[in-house]
Amino acid sequence: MSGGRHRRLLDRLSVRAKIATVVGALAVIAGAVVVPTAMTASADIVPQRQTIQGSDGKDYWVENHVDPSALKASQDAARGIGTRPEYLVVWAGDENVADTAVPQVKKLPGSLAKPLDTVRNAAPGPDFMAVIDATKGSPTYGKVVNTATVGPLVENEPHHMQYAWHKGNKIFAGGLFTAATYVFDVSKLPALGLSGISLPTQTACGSVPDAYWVTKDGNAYGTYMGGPIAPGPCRYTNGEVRSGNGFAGAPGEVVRFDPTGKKIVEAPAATTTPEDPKQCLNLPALSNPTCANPHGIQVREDLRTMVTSDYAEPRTIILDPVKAPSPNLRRTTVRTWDISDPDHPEVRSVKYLPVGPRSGAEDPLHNENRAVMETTVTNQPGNKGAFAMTMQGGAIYYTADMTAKDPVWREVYDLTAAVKQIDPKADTGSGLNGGWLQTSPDDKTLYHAVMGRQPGSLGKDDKGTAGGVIALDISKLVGAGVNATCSIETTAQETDPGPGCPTLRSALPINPGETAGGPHWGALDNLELGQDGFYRETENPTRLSTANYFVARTGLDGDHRVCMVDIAKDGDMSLDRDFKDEVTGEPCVDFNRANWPHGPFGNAKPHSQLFVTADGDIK
Amino acid sequence: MTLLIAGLLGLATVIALVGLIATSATPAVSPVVLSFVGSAAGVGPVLARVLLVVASALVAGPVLVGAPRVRVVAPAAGVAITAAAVTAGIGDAAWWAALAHAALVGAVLVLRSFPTAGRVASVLLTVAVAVEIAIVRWGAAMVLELLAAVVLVVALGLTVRASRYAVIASAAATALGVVLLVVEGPWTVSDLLGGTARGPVVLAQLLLPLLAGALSLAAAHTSGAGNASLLAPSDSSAPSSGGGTPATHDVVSLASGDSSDALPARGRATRRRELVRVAAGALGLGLAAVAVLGALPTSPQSPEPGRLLVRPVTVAGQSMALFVAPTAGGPTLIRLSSAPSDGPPSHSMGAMGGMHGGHDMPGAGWSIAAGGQDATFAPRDGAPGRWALLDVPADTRELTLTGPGGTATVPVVIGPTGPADPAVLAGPDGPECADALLGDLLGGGRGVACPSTALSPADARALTLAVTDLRGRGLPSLFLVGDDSPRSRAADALVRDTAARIGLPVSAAPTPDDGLLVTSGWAQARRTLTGTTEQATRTPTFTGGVFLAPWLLTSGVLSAGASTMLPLGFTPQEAEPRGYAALLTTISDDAAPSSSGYLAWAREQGRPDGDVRLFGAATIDVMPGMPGMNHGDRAGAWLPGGALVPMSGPLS
Repeated sequence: MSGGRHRRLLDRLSVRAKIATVVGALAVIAGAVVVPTAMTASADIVPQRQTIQGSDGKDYWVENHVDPSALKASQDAARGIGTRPEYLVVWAGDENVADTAVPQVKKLPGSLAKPLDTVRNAAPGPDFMAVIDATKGSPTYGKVVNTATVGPLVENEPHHMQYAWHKGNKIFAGGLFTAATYVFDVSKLPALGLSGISLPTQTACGSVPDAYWVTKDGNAYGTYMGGPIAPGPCRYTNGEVRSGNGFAGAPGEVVRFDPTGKKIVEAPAATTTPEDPKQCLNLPALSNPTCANPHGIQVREDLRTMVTSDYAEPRTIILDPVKAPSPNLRRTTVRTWDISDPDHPEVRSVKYLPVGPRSGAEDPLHNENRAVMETTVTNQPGNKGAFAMTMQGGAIYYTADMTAKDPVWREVYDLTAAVKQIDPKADTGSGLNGGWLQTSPDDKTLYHAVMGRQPGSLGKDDKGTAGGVIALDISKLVGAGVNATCSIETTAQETDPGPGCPTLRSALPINPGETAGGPHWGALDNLELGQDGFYRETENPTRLSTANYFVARTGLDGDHRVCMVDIAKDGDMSLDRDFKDEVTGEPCVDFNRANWPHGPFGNAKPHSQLFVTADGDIK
Repeated sequence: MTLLIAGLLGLATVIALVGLIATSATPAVSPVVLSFVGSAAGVGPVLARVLLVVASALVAGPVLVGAPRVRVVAPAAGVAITAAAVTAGIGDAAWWAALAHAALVGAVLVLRSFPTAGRVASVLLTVAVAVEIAIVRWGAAMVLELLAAVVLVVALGLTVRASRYAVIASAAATALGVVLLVVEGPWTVSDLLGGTARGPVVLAQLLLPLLAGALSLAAAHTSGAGNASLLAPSDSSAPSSGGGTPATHDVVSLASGDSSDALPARGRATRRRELVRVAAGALGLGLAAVAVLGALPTSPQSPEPGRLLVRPVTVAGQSMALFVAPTAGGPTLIRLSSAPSDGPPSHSMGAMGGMHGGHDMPGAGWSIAAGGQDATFAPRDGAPGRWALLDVPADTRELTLTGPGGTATVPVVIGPTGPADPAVLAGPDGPECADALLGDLLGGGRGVACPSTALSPADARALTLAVTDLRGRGLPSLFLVGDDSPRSRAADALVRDTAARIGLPVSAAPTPDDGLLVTSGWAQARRTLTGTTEQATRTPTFTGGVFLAPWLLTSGVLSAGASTMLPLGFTPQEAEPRGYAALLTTISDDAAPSSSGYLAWAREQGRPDGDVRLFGAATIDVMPGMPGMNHGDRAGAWLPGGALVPMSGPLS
């Protein structure tokens, strides 16, 4: 077509027609241009990966997905209220086995609703550390600022970290199923670095890492609940030899790591002599029976003592659809360790917690002393006490002197005394599935998270209970020092412990009305803002955080929420409703969501958390 | 002007194609897998989509071909704009995109009086409709559907204009439909005629334009006194002169209401109008069929001799997967996956002796039949899902699956079974062989020999290295459990020979301090581990450890042991094995990956064997009594609810 005809055609178009044509063209371009919906992370999130080499020669990484707009908003907000940002760092596992990262089909008018999902040719979603704005008073309170994914290991089953973070500490975080310990550098929050990773081949005498305690030198102790990865004798770092029944069996161990995740020592939790074969069942049987499956761990460096609580052989062995495993697979023991030589911890005592007034042959699984999940130590110089709690037993135990060669542990509180404050319909604390246990830095309060009991746990008439957090006044108990006499020995004391025993200061139901819907884990906010604008440690936390982690029985979305709880001056706890989910606007941050900064990987399971600030914001 | 329109249309189509190809990724998976994947869109969104594209086509088509005054354009525009709003409102489309589409429809409506502007806008709307239809597809199907949509819109416009070119356009649409059928299937008569949802829709998109073409031809035949030629000049005074009523009367567009003809021609015009209407309706339905194709899974696999057949089946609303081993007639192994309502696979239980890899198998009461023979599905030790061994007559063309609530048929072909030995498939190692065939199929292979027919060099190496390493760790003695398969006998001989060389005693009868090494197939291994686990609760048993041959990596075996160790040439935790395992879940929810299946797939993908390492496996529950707290039963996991971790570096 000649230029002349072109001009004539165009001339014949009115201005209105030309404009309309251009508008129409733009409209179809807008309508027809495909906008990738894959990886619906914000377009401005630039993943930053840091890679290290593991002991197996392979690359391991952490990849930060800092949301710059969320970060800026968080920093602006903090400046606006005259503070520095504080974060909640949550160790979370991807929930779904077959997440896809294949680019999705785009949404257009008339195109079919859901993207052509389900071509699951990609690896499962990564586990990650979520960095949440925890700056009190900030308008971006509760916003997820970064998700730092780990790789290449997936399905780690993220579990616990240390109990509190202190300036300069690395974060040690374990993966149950990968038997790996990750060491994160948080000095440049909200970004995380990977300082190291310990692989199962490096800790051959144990398996199933659980919890950690970071000592003042920056090293850390970690509990490995399960037995040596190969059955038979295992030689530990300092020459000890113990025989185990294999991966995820018994006996477990304590491992000491340096800040790069390098193993300093593996120390046996089992003694050289057989432990009580009646109380310490092992499957398969061991010639030296042992209850050594350490789960909780806390340390008093000034007392050169470490305390670990034995929980259960983590291996699942269901022998019969009808017959439950023996209750004696769930431990009743607490170990104290001499850490005079920090790199050579040695078991000083193995104590069997006593049964209580509820205990009986008809339901040994729920004896008060059953399944010692967690332990916590007093903190103040001069106090030598330590606590332990039982998950199936629903009781709290105390020893006034953890340094003793033969410490005496007594039951000092039956959760029956508190359970009605959590669930008015409940009438026993038995089987309350308690988890997190933590003394306040001033040793006046003991905090405890309980998930609650599934219906039917105690029999067909058992309707179960809800869960929550309780705070016990332990000042009298601890204040009595080695003269503490509190001991729950009678039925009456189940609801009224008596003088000198802990008393209930506050109870906060979480998910009231939902049986077994309470939190499993928690963390105290041990940081406060000083007059100089920098954070520092505090002995009087004014809040704590809980991690709810359960899957609804219907199989629908469960409760994977991280909540914030305010602690008033009188110790009363209340849900901080300002700590809201940025998607739903509801209190608590919901880890059941479609999209994360690292992509549309769907629901995640938050298992543990810590209050942390960047190095430059704390003195 | 025609050239201009054609040029604009072609250019817009090319741009759209390039854009689509550039931004749509072809999933790198086997077509077999894609046949299990359908859109999650419900009836509502699909209906809205169909209304949107057909109504938009009725706006774009007539204006494009110079018949803007066709009465259907305005109401069709209203329907299209409403449908766009509905698709956005129900979340099927982004609001901005729905607005853009609606604006484009409005632009065509407003500009239709201006020939050039109207045609440009209608070209753009045509391409938009075609893109919206084709965008859910990829590859050749995407291109074909895009072209088919463009041609159908043009054909629709020409038909309502009652142009004789409508026949050619309809023929072109039919031809594209045939090509689509050839490229995308279904390829068997039974699938085409209703065995799948896709079959009738593909037929519709092919036959309806053919019908429309025939009707248009008939309509053309009834027009023009004394001139029924298809090639008679068309009405040249059509709206290209600027719109308004046609100057002549040979063109009778839909609902134009032009009745100024002389009385004898009125009857012909009415008949022609009816034929044109029906033809347009057929084309509209044809376009709807093309639009609906995107909501349907791709065509299922056609049976081929020597290849595992993997087909989606639906009975009484339950969708499952049926796996049929290659068959030459006679005993044929068939697996049926669990239905979604059956719940997750239950492999995490180390059942006591005699029990299978799950108790009270869900979905009981299913059977498969052919030619008067039938067999009931039941679980098999160590293997996922449920299995049947059906004696298939040599002249069988289809199998009939029967379950509570209904039946379904699946085409089969009898022929040579390829490398897989039918006797092995029919024996205790059949499930493992079927799994290897599945991995091979998904990797694009043409069949593999059953793994139990020979000890592979890789497995031999792994066993040798593992036994040597275990001796070095202090294993005092070994006890072997195998079976009669050639692989197991070869493994037994190899291990004994290796043990003799390194001074590791092999016990003739088990002693408590022995390590146990199992070199049998899945079923025997599961039974052995179940018995060993139970015995270990009463008395020290195999305290040296329990070791498995590499081919025993499957959850149905691992879950029967307390903890086990096995040498592997790949790391199940790595991305590729995890991806393979996840891929299986696209086919069935009870997928359980195995090393035999994965390695068959990996070999087809060209993946080399890796270093051999020793792995430890155990199911773990740190929150007993709290279901779902840690593991749950995850389909596709190598060991649901468990850990499978490397215990050693590369063995040498």
